[in-house]
Amino acid sequence: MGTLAVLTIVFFLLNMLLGSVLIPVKSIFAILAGKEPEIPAWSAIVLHTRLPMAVTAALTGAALGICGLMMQTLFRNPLAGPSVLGLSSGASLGVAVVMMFISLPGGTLVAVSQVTGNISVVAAAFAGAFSVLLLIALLAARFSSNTLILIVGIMIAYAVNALVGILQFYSLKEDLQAFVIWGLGSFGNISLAQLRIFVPLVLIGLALSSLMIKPLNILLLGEHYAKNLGLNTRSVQILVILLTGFLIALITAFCGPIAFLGLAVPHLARILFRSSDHRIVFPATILTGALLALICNIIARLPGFDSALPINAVTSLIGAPVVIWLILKRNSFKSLV
Amino acid sequence: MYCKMKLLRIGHHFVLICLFHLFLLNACHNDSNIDRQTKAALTAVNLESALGFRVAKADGYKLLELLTVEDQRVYQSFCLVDQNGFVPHDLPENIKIIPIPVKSMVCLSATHIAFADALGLMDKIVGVASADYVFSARFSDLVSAGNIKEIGIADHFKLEELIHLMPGVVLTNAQEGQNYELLRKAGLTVIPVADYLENDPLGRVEWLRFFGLLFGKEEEASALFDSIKTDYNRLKSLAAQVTERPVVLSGKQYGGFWNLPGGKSYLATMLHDAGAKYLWQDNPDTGSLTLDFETVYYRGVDADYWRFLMYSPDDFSYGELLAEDARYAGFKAFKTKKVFFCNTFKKPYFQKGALEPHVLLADYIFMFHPELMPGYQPVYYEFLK
Repeated sequence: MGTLAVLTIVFFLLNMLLGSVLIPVKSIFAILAGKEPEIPAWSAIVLHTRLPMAVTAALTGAALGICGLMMQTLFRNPLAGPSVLGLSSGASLGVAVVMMFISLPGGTLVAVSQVTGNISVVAAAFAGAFSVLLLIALLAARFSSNTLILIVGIMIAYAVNALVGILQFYSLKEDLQAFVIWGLGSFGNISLAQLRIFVPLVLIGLALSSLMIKPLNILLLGEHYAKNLGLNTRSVQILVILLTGFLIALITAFCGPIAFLGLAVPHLARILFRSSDHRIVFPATILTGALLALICNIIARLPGFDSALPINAVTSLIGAPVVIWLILKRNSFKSLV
Repeated sequence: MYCKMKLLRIGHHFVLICLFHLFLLNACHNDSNIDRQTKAALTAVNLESALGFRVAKADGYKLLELLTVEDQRVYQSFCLVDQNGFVPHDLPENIKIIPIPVKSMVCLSATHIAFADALGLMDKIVGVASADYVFSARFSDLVSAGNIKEIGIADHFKLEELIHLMPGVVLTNAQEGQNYELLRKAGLTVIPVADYLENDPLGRVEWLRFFGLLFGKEEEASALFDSIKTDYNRLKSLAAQVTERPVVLSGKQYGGFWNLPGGKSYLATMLHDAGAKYLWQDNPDTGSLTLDFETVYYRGVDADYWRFLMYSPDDFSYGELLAEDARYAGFKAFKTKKVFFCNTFKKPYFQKGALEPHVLLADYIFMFHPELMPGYQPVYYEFLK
């Protein structure tokens, strides 16, 4: 766990050091220490571009990992992740409505960026994800079957994606491009000022989630056993759905749908620590998630080049082979679920 | 048994329908008096700036070839046959024959409407992709009177309506990957128009000649092109005298990425002609660049001017620009209030801009060197307030 924490800090610093513009290491530490560098633009790049991006990446990785972990335990399904409850799809629908339905023909990508800067895209994504969350929570309150909720969540995702598809079908090329770019995810959308909202909200979400460690451990024993132990499985179920829903809605609103991390990080954490005890896996997931997101962010920024890659391309392309390799190597997958 | 009979009958009908169609097709050809004769000697029509098409004339017909701007490869050819002209008998099969002047057209891009308008061809338009284009009162009238039909954008046309209009030609955007095969199979003549791929501002205007050719307005097109060219070149030489060329940044960031025109693009050429220096003018690309935010910030932070397009029914201010991204405040152009923009919701930049490079150039010169344009009122651009 200590190594993981050190690595996370190292990669956080690497996120500050590496980028398209070459800035000497000495200047970067000077900037972080609050001094003025020789070139004023450097300070803006480090403090207003790299720092918020690194913080966003670390928190997003950690929070999505925790969402995946809680859902995998609750639904007893190794494939559960942020996308299964249809929350990302709900967020997409909200954004699609703002970007493609409201905007008029003739608008361009340049034009739409104006919308994103405004808080409207964030609000639309949050509203979309939250409506789906409410729907799921209502269902969860009525039916106790986890499988039922899982299936309904996936069905809602299909239905919502169909609506997004219709909007895409009838929208102009420029709006479509803006929407596609949003769908590829970005850690670069959050400004230093917005971090003041984002960071505390994510931390509150994570802190509340940590209260679920014990009930989740009991759930691992099986639902009947948990009930016999006096656990109110219904309230755990609803709490987990609300907590993950809140975190996913928050992250998708600010960063777009970030693929893969939520599903893969809990597996990595369990494999690395050879445990499924949430007292270990919970902090391990936070660290692994933050570390993985920071690594992906460095790769996506293509240090030394003028351009960059969309974050989802990197999380999936780099992350998927890593998980496959780990699973094949450790061959301990079956013990996890 | 009954089934077989029915099938046979359907087959029979099918043959009849096919024969009927053949007859119709023949009738059409006879109508336009197109005979086949030996290919006459072709002489190239001289074009000055456009790279996307070329024309050669012979007695009785013209050969129109569409070329890629980059490597001058012919990708489609048409044989335009005059009213009393003929088709050369050794014409390759893949060359589509178009009787001219063309009777009517469907325009799938707003710039086509601008070209038609400039040559007095508005009444030849029978269909457009979208009736929402910011254009002119005349255009809106024709749409509401039902003379111009809305047929939808690429890949989801109202195909039946489009075929029913029986346009002489369907003008499309020359974009790779878009499939107009259905329209061609339905017997329509589809011509990709690549005006917007020209990197020389006057090259775009010269597509007037293409429209002139199709609709028998070659002289009008030439005259109009010459007058725009004269205006453009006059302004260009006016701006060429400047001693100081301010540096200009273009566009805004989106999702951490910044889309900018390449160093040899249409915009870069125009900014240079306006006596300015585009920030990426050393770049060899004609298309667009997608760069990382910090790259653009590092290079653009000291740019003297900042220009972008936006699309909004509302007014736009420095405050709103800052709300989009607080980092914008670091730019020199932001601090010195030298940010200017064109609101494409209110101004027909995408519709008429291609045909009015002289107006755009005047706007740019006014922004960078107001002393050269005393009393001028910019048309497309305005300074941010």
